[in-house]
Amino acid sequence: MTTLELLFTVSAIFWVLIFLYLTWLHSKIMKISKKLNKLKV
Amino acid sequence: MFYMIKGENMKKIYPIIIFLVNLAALYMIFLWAPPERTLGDSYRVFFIHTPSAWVSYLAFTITFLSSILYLKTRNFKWDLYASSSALLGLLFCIITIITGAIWAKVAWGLYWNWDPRQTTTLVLMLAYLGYISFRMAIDDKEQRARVSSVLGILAFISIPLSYLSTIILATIHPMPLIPTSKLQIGVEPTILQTLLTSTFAVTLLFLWMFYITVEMYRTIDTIKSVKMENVK
Repeated sequence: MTTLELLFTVSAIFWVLIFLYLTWLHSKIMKISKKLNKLKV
Repeated sequence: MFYMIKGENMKKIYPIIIFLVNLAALYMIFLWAPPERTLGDSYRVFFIHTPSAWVSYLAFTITFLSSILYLKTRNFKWDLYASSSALLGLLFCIITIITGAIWAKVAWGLYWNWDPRQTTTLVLMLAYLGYISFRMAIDDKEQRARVSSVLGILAFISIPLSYLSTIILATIHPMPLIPTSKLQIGVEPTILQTLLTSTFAVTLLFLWMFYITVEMYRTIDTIKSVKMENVK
């Protein structure tokens, strides 16, 4: 693995995992807002 | 300046601040910091690996303190902080282990060497994985909070174990930055500044994610209690 590949892989892993967590949070929040709307009705 | 920005505006502005600080950190990591004398450019991995490790320690410390405060006050707010922080700590701990393993492959020739630091960090991760699994297995809110607070305190033992492993045990992992004399640290100022900036950027990112996670779990709790009242 060259230095460039190493740096790219490490940065990608960091940001992809952060992105996946934020996506999971977003999908959870969307579900909650749907439930909240149902409760309001 | 920021104290003038109120509530809702701050929620919109904070992600922009995080984005800009992280952008500046990335610039410093890849373009500003000079290559290291012995490791060359590969040492730049530390600017991602070390802040992730620091944030995971910070998150688990929040879990530890919140667990103590829950047992003392029986206020569910602390349980919420403890669980949200543990979840994020686990995420950053996984990042630390993966990035460390990749660097280990380049530097030591193997992804996993059972080095004391690698092993103790794995123990740390497993301890908090257990903490989260226990939480998911218990339905009763009060029991869950009580049991997980005890676990949150017990799991904290693995943090000094992981941190001190490079100092106490024979390891090939690089030593932590320890000041050699008053305000004098044995690294180049540019490298130290980059490390501090990247640590600050990742900490800001963590605090924002922590805030969103707490708010999400708080809303879920509110919905559950409203549903329970409707059933009654």
